[in-house]
Amino acid sequence: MSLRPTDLLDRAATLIAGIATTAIGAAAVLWPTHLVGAAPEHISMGPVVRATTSRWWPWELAGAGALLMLIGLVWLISHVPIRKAPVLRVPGATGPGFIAVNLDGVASAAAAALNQESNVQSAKGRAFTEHGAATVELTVTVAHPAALAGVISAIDTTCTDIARTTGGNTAVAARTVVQIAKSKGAGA
Amino acid sequence: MMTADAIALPTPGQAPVAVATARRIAVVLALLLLLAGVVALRDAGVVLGWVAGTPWIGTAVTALNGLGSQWWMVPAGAVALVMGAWLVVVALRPRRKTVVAVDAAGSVWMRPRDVARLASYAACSVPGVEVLNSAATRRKVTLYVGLTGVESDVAAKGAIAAAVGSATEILIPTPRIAVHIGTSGPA
Repeated sequence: MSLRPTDLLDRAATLIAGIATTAIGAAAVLWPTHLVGAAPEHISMGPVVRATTSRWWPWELAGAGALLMLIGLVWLISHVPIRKAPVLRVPGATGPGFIAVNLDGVASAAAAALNQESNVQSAKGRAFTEHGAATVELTVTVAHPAALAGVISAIDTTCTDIARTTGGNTAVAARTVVQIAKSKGAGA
Repeated sequence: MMTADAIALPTPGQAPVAVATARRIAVVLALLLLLAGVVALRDAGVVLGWVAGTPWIGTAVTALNGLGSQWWMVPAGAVALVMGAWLVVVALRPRRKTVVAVDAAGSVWMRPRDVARLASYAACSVPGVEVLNSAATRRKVTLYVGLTGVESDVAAKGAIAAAVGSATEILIPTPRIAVHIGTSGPA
């Protein structure tokens, strides 16, 4: 399982929150039962109470508050989805340069080709980077379930066209999600 | 027809997966951090005399100081224990696959709801069968049908299972099929 840094941070934070909540819960369950001999009779917050009366307390609070807000804000913003279409660099056949291929265009062209099929109700294409690989995703809605086999064959043909367009570059992955159009009177 | 096996296909894309629950929890945690920051800044303002009111953090610390064990802590702790265990599981659980693989040359997938539609269509092709409802998971298709013909339940179930099995044999793995016969129309 490959994880993006944000995913890793999310999971680590959830794990820490889970462990902390479990520990607090276990302490709260065990404390009134007096099963743990070493447990204190009362919570002692003396040092913290003394700190709240110190001269520096409001400035410490202000600093900690600003830091917490900054971290919270950055963390929150990191969850805003930003889709950047991957660009493929294909070496030129004659010259030393490269041709930049926007894979969003490839995905749109593939979807447009599938939309020409009579049994395809709609087809959409998009490109994104997933687990470090540029991926073209097609979402194809089949007009009628009986035409599914034919549409799958057309999808395979379109995928070969994608491979041809990208120069057989193995860095480009493709996947298709096939949907069946809703029909009147169907149970699903 | 063009055979895709003879021509190079792109690298097969990975199966689409659901958004990790840990991601949603992280958004909540980020909002809690923001809230904690706002409370700390407010309290700083109160202590400095810039904002009217009483400091919440100082009051909470004073209330906690000297608190002894009480019995209400047992059910509250049990709830926290369960919630904490759930958070640990969520943090470690891999993202759930949302689709079923289709037997094709490339990377082709179907959502369970579309598998249910496919199964409904196949079941409807059996004479005397009306599909009342259908549902599917990644491993199982369940059909609720009504019979309008004179066929016996067993024969109808067999015919429906055969039709649905034939329609869904393009899926990997092929789903289990469950047929439930209800009442619909004249018997």
